[in-house]
Amino acid sequence: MNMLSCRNLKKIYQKQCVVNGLSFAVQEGEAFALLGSNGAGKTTTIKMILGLIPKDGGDVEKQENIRIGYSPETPYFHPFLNGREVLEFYGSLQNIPKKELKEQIPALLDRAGLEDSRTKVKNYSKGMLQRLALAQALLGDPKLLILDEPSAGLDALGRVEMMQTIRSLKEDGKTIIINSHILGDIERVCDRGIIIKKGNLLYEWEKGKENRSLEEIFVEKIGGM
Amino acid sequence: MGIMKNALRERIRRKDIYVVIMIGILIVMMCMSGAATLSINGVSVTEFQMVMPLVMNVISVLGGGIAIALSLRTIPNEYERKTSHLVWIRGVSQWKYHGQLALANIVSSVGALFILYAGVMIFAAVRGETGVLAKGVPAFLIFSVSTAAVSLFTSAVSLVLPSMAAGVLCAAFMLAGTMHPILETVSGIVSGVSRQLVRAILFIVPDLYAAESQAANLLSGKTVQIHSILGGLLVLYVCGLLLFVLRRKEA
Repeated sequence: MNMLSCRNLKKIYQKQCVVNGLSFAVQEGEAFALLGSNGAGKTTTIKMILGLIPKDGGDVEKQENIRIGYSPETPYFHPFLNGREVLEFYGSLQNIPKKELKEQIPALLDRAGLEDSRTKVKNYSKGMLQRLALAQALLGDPKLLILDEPSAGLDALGRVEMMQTIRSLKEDGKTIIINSHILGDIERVCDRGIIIKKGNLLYEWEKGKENRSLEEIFVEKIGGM
Repeated sequence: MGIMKNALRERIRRKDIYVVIMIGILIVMMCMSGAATLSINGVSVTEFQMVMPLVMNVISVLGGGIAIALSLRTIPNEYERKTSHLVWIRGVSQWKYHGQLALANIVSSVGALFILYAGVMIFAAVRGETGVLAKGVPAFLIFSVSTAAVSLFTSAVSLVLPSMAAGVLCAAFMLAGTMHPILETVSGIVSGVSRQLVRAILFIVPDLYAAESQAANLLSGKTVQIHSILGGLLVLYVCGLLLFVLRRKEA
């Protein structure tokens, strides 16, 4: 069953087509990767799915009434808040009852690997911001998670921990769309994905379908157009 | 109301309000020390009832300036630092989002105005003007309508214009609005294109002075013109409509 499907998505910025008729579907419970070089149109696609920017063509169909959690590429939170307050703020926007929120927040901070929730966000490292971004995406137990470069800015250990967390979320039955440059991480976590270049769909990747690694496929496809 | 509370919390933690308190204290000190004196035809004006409307005018212009400064960047900042993304994806409508941020702007602007206004009340208390003190709260409610309108107008304009352009436009709106009687006098003096220009400004910019001058009328025991207060509330309503109509295409 499709959790989300995009048909013929199109986005034009200043007369330049950055997403050109992109179509793909994401099945319920799978981890799906959006792959491509910088400027391929991955983040633009995600923003169109989320309704953050208007589409210039095509359709996005989602399962009815699904809650979507989103972790942005460059997470930015109100700098005067601490981690706990950030989650309280976004939780209140989702109309999560206060009592429920109080129970959820420590668990979410723990899951994202943020022990210290008292430090102000302005003093967070990039890695801590990524973790907090993941924690806020998990507020309200969403069925679909869209993670834009979730391991950007993390050190090696942080990256491993982030991927472990994402894998455990998948095991919990969440549908996950990941946009990442780190192909090894994608190969470990994702079931399927698409490689895009300049907004065009180049290749539909599926785990175990080919004997080659994702990196080899990626280099061949991206270098070959 | 979470968005409004958060925006107000930012104000308090950024300590903007302390600057306003300092200005308020300075006003009180100037009034009480006699450093600021007023003379008409060489005769020094010391009567509280005569000084008070003039001080109120100064406070109103200062309050308008502070309202612009406090309201100009609130909404653009949300979009520039992309905190808007995490609000939009939670299904919060633009009207609700912008409305709550604008409300936070109004609360902080009116709060700042209150600090300045409190200076006048302290001055009145020192002078033993108990009659003025008794009318302090209703007079402030009338007095704050124009500042609220300036703040709301700034919030709305900041949605669609770059900061510099929005700031200049709002400052022009505030100054022309609070100096309506002066502009009316000027329009009677000048001629030709200048006259047409001044009359056009008078036609476009609402008379903010009319509403706020009723506060001074109330405090000094003069007749209060209800229609001027209603006019101020109408301006507030129109600015609210402007905020509702102006939208962002992208988060």
